[in-house]
Amino acid sequence: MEKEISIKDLFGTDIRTRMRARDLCPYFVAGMSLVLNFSGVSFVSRSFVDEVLTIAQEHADVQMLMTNQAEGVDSMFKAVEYSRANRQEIYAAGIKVPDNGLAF
Amino acid sequence: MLDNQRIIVPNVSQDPYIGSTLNSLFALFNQIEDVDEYSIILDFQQVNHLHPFFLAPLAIYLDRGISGKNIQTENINSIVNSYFNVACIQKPLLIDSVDVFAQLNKYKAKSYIPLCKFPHGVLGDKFQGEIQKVIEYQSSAKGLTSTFSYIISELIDNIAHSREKYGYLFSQYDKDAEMINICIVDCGISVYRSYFDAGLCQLHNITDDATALQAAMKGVSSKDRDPSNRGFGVHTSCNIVKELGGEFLLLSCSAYIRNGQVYAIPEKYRVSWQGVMILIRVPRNKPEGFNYINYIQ
Repeated sequence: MEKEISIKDLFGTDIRTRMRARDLCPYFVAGMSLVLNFSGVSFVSRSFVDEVLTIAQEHADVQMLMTNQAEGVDSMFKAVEYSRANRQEIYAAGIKVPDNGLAF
Repeated sequence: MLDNQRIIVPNVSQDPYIGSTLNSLFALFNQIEDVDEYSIILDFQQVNHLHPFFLAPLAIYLDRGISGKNIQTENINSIVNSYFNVACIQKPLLIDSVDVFAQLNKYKAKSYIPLCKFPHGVLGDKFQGEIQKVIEYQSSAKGLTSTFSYIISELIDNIAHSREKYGYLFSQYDKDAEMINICIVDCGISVYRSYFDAGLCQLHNITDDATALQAAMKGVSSKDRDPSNRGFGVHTSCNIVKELGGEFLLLSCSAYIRNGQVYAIPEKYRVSWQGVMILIRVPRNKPEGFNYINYIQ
């Protein structure tokens, strides 16, 4: 069985937070195909996309499909998918104390 | 500076490098907190203009009652007072329904937005979109909508904590420098406390505020279920701001990140400010060929 949901109808055109992805959980029903329709959505945050992909991973028994992604939305999904598959070690410089005798 | 319970507010109008205003601000907080008396008068007689990176955190400090004292303000001159009223400095604009959005439109003709106290969740998301339109309109920023959406949403999503219902946002466009100054504050818990509560301190050698910020820069997320995923919000946002030609500062209790470098605040300067404060200064024009997607990790 297939179910299609309009992301814009659920969350609007700008989707900014990780928590919005969690609101999709009830739609992930075992054995179903779930189509996320991004028509009209202009922005998705990295956190939202990351959480959608995590939820999809957690529900491997649901086939998740995406349609009508605007260029920016599609690019974000591709960038996050790449990042998750190619985890980079980030170097962080050592901790300093301000050398001007001040706090900042 | 001290005259019984009266404390003079300095006229901090410049921020030559990002966060330099906080030296004066923390000195002021220390004065307030060192006074034995419960009731204090903040005297604005010297104030003609305050930089947004001094003013917004001061307003939030007062709104939140962080000092635990009864603080009154005096001697605010008429021009400054008028600005304080319109910019909602002494009473932040509470975003409690979409009806409030209509009030934001009148700020399109100004260089600043009101100090906003916004909820996290669906309404907070909508608010971010609305206020961003105003900020972009004020500066005539072109082609930066998605970049701003990324930076603002990612930082708010990263610092917002379920224990804290509201965050604060303030912004002012500097016409001379053609730079947008944005201040985002969440008065919930520190980055260190987030890691501590998530049980990640031992795993990542996080022992204090500074090592917590170092972990944040390395991409360790306090929300991790699978440690191989997520957590580059702070690092990526900082990188994007730098690549735009801007500056970035994230303060969490006794440590901060300035343009990618973690600093520990010397003990004598520390104050009882909890939660997270982010200062961003970005140009209204993006460099040729810039695309924020290229920096996503």
